[in-house]
Amino acid sequence: MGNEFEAQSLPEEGVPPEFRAGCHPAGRSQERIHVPYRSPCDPCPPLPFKTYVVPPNQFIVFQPPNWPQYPPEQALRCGTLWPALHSPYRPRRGREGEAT
Amino acid sequence: MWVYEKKLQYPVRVSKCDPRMAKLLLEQYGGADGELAAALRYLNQRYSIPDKVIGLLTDIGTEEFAHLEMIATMVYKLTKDATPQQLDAAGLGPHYVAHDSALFYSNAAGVPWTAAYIQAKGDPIADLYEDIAAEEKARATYQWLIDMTDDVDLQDGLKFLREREIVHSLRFREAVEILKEEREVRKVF
Repeated sequence: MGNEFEAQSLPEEGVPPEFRAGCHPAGRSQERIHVPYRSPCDPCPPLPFKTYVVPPNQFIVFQPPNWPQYPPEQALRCGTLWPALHSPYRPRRGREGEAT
Repeated sequence: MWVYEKKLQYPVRVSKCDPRMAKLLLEQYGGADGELAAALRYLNQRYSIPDKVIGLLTDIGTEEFAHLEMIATMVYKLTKDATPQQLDAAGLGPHYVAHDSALFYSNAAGVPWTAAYIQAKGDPIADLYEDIAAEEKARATYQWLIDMTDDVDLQDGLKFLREREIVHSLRFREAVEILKEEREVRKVF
């Protein structure tokens, strides 16, 4: 079952590698891409794509016991004890050519 | 009752003078999906929810007050040395005439906080789903706040708060699972 958003005609070039793979436990980036409809009558030049985040909590129904944990100091900094729940956020500011 | 620890949950550092960002941060202070709304929503829902998840609402509601303190510290640091002219230039002129540089529970557009932002429906599933939605909306708000500043120290504190929303959302979803499983009902087959 594929993701219909990703199945859209994405320009292969210009898609940053962050979107293809990541540190997510399921082996994929937490960022998703979609391309808004482009009308021939649009007043502004189209942006290549828009992004949104799907954090790892969306793939966990009930957290199992005994998951690997960060060392305490790192956990305090990350905001969570468990690497599997960590969600880094790439600020959109300064991302060239991306919809924001 | 509560026991107060006189320190922040996570250190708040602000390294850029930017009163404009203080105005934007107010969205998480007195906004519909802000920390005040979250804390009051959870702590109030506790009384009419099944025993198994009362403790969760207490814990998360309490932590939201710790987050509220962090946001307050950020806003305070960004405004404490600003002149009335600087506040006006940052869009905080209307705030200044009503409050000087005191903090107040309003959102980024200056709309004062209202209890109409929160709900206690008395139905455990409905209430928990509202809580899950509130956490995801707060996560998104933190993302857009991070996008609005280039101060890496401020971004660091906001990223911590964003991660906590993700953890809270999962805990509320687990609470729904606990209630779905009818763990207290004795089944006879």
